[in-house]
Amino acid sequence: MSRYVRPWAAGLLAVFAAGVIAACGGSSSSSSSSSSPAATGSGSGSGTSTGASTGASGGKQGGTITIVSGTPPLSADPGLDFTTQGNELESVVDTPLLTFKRGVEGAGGSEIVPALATGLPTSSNGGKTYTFTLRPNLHYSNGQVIKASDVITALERDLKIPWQAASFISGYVKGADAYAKGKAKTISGVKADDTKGTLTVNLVAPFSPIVDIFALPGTAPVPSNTPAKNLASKGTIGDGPYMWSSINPEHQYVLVQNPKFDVPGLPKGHAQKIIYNVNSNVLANAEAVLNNQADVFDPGDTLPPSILQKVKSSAATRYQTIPLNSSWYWWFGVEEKPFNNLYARQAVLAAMDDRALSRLDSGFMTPDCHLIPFGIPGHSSPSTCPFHNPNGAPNMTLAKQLMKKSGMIGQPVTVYGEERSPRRQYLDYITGVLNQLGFKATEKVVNSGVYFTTIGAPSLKPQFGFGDWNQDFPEPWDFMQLFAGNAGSSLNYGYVNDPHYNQQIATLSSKPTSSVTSQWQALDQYAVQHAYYAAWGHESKVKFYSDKLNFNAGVMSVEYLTDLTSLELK
Amino acid sequence: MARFIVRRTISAIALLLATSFLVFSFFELIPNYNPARAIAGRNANQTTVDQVAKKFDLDKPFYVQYVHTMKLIFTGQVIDYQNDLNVVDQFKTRFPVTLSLVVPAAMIWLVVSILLGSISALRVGRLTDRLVMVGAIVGVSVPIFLLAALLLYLFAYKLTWFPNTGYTHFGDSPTQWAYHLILPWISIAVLSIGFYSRVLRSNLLDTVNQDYVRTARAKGLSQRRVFRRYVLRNSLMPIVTLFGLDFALLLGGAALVTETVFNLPGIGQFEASAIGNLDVPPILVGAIFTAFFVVLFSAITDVLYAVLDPRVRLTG
Amino acid sequence: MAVDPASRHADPSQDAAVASPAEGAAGFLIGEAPEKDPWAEGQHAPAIGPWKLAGRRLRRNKLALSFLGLFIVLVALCLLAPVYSHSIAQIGPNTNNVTGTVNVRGHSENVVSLDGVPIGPTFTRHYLFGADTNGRDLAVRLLYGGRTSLLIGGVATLIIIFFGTLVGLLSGYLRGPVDAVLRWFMELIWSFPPVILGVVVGTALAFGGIGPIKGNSIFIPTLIIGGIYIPYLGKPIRGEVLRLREMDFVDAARVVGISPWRIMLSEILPNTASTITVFVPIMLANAILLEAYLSFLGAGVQAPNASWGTLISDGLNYISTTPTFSLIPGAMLVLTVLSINVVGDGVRDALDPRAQVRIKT
Repeated sequence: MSRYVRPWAAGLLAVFAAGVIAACGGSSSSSSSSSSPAATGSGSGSGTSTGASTGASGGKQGGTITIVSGTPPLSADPGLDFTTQGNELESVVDTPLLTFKRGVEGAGGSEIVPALATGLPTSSNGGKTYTFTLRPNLHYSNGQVIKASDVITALERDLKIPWQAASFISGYVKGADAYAKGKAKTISGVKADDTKGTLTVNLVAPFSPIVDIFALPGTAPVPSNTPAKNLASKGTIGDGPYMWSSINPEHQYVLVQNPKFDVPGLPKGHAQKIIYNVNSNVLANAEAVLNNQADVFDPGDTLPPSILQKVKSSAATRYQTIPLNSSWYWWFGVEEKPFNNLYARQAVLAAMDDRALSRLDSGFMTPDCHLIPFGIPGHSSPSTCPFHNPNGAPNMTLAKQLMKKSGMIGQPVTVYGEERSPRRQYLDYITGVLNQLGFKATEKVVNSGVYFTTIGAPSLKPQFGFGDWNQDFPEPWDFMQLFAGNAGSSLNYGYVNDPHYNQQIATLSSKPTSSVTSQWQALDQYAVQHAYYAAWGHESKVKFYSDKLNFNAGVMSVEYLTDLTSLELK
Repeated sequence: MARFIVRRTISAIALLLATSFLVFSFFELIPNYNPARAIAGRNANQTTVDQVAKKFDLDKPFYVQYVHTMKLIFTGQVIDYQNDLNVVDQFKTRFPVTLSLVVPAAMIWLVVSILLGSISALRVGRLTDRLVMVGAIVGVSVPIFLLAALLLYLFAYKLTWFPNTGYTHFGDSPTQWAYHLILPWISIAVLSIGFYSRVLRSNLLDTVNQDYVRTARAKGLSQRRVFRRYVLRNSLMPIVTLFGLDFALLLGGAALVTETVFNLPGIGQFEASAIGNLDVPPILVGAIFTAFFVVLFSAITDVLYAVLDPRVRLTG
Repeated sequence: MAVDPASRHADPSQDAAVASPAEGAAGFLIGEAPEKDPWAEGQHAPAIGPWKLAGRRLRRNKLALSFLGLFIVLVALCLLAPVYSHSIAQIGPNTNNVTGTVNVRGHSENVVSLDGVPIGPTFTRHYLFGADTNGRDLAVRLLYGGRTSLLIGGVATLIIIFFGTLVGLLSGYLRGPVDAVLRWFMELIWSFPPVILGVVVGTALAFGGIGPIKGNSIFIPTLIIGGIYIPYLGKPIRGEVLRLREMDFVDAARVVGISPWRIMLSEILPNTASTITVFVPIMLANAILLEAYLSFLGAGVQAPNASWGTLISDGLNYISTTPTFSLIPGAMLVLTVLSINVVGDGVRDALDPRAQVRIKT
């Protein structure tokens, strides 16, 4: 999921928050060995799956919990928003047909379970048709009955508003692109039968991650009379365990428990009221949680280095770092000099010190050269990295040899990066490395709010720059598609276009992931060998609560970050 | 007076239009600036980008976009690129915060600087004068962001005497409102106190040598009475103009640094955020908003001048 | 006198009437008491040339002289940055050293700890004031950053002086449509707070660059700061010129048939010299401050270059653990601006025509 951070927050982060994004704190166990699945985070109590699956069981009910965040969601309307912050909130308001398992920390949270649907969808027609069946007698928070055709209303809204992830629908669902462009009055590939409660989705081509897309709040049904415009200040009428009580866009989002919510197997949440306050001064947020003036430090933010030591020493029992599914990398403009040359790219992989980059991220990074992170099928062990061991020193001798072979010494390179800390520091670091290799590298810092859309503009064709990726959903496809030459998205900043790679993406995504895990792994290793990207690690996030909360009950979900239904007061 | 109002209004409208046009065309000229892409987001494919361009009229020629945007602004319907929210509504909800910050801060700095400036001028050359003037020159040499950050660190984090950032509405709790705003008020006021007390002091020392003051003194009026009735009153006139402008600019968002550091959801914070995002509609509305206050307050100060000093005639 | 770049303190309505430049403020020196109580009457100044008189007054002003000394020391320190970098610290301003160690009095310490906290002041030749997150030597960056701040301030001041004077001369002397257009443009810039204008233009240009100048060039903030402050000099100069052009000696020159350009350059310009001189320190102080504001807001000096503004901004991240990271560049900035302000006060008092008038009567 593209993490959305207001650039002004960036400015302020530069002021107050700086260097850190939380995770695998200094003593992280996951950096020492080759494959640490997400479930083994560091510190105490990780991997505990607490009894939230029935909601009402155990734990204190009621009360008000305050979350403080440095970054607001783009909108409270899942028909527009596609941010981690928004997902955290909207996922408890708008329950889709399927959902990622709640109440489970670590890899278990990647499991897709039925929500409004009676079961996982059946696929037919060679993986091109999926059929969902809706549970009967489900209600929205206003009492209205949920119909199968309401999902179509949601999809149509997504395409019209448009949803920031509308490409997931317009790129794969039959007729969706024509509908988005205004060439059709309906999405021809989607049919609902409200009497039987079924929804049939026809795809352009077989695409197994479509199941994940129907677990995103953007595809949750909305009442059929919901207007196709951004409801940023009201939010949608939802069907989840919580509903909007009040929204002051960009400042405060208040949720209260939805008494009408009753979906078998899904948690109802503990707190009666959840207040999500936005304050771009992240240090102030951290201080507030430390002093028990607020309850949850939003894991989407970076924990300022100046408070990290204090938190570790005086709040050790309510602080923990948990690896999530993300990858940080440098991409190469493979059509432009000097990185059209394989050796020049490989030299960067050999010369880059993952440990240095990890320190710049306050040690919250687990070094690795692969794109698919630990918690996702297809992950390769860092020990198989070809140019140097990510947990050891860089191989400068090899790098210099490769540079000589490339004949690119003295070539100018413009290095693109984000302004927000610590990304500006990464940029300063890598520019130094490129200059050490003999390039003439200069930096180009872009405001965080427009960085990715700037480097993704087809007119730019940048040479080299920073990229990060937080999972949209836990599939290897979600990561590997970043370098697909035929995806039609603007995420392939370096314009990598390798026929073998493209063909593998198409083939593997048409099959269930579990059946092609090793092929995904091989594809990742293939791309590293060809130095299409210089990935340096996977990041963890911070779980930091006030004393008032039951720390062990709270769940950091790989999909939802803080699982709001798991939060409970002591 | 009628002529004054008409001429001022015309020149004000010309200024507002020119400002908005220049700001708008400036953003049009930036290479690689593609708002449709920025709005559509990182995951967008070409279909989404095209849809967004259509929704915001970004696919139309430049002048059409400008006219369209201005129409939306003046009908109160303009929405921002970044959050898809009505910009005018956001200004409306944020303006009370800026007022809460700026009006008391302005009162503090006026009162304190008049006191300090007067004391300094009356005690010219003595220790009090020197201390005040040293304080004043230091005050104008410290950037607000540094002062604000230090105040926050010292009084909110370290000593915890004041809340660590944030804002409470006056209507919710007047005491909490003031409690949250004391540090921001000080941050804004210090620089202006330094500046105004210096200006006032030298104005006072200027005025004291004017003929009418001597006449008054020759008539045997007491020093204190002369000071209050003649010297201070006349020395405050240039301050009125200064104050009108400063106040107008602060209302228009010039307090962005203070609002940002203390997380006060006012106009300045909003504009700062919009600038960072290269989000044109709020920047445009902000420019018009500021220019409006500048024009308004310069007219007000001119009128005040004419009232205070009968020698001044109002001209457009 | 420092003007808060977030605001502005010159007085537009007085531009025609006030000959004295500094926002209508005559200003006294701090610390220097007038020899006689100004509330008393009848002081007389000796009859000598104004510049000579000014020089004499300035030399007597111990405070201004000592701050001038301080300013020179600060500038010299910054100019010696390469020497410090090469011979003492032995590390460049942009040299990263994230995984390195440094020997502090016999102990080997990480420059940047495993969880990303840079080393504090060592008070040894290496990392005298500590490191930043990238393991760069802060003392070296402080001096190089100072050079950048002073360079931007200095060049921006030159731009302001040149164009401000030009605009003031043209506008005030030619009047008519030229005046109307120039005044209108000045009014336009004037109706924005400098910080907002600077951040809007700075952010946009850092993003896109301007013509052949790349977005990360330090000339961008320089040009922006220069441009923003032109009216702040142009307006008072215009006022001065309006007054001068009505004077007898200018009339005489016109009658003799001297061209307007010659009159402007040889008759009027020299008579605005004292006003311009008074403005040099004011503009320099403001330019340096505005650069700090812009850099603080991310719209000034771009990475990897440093300025005092960016160093303060980065240092504030560590304010509760290592306050020196922001306090040292903060102190450098404040001392520089303060010394310029004190010297500026001295210069103004020495030159200000109204102060002279006051003393005479």
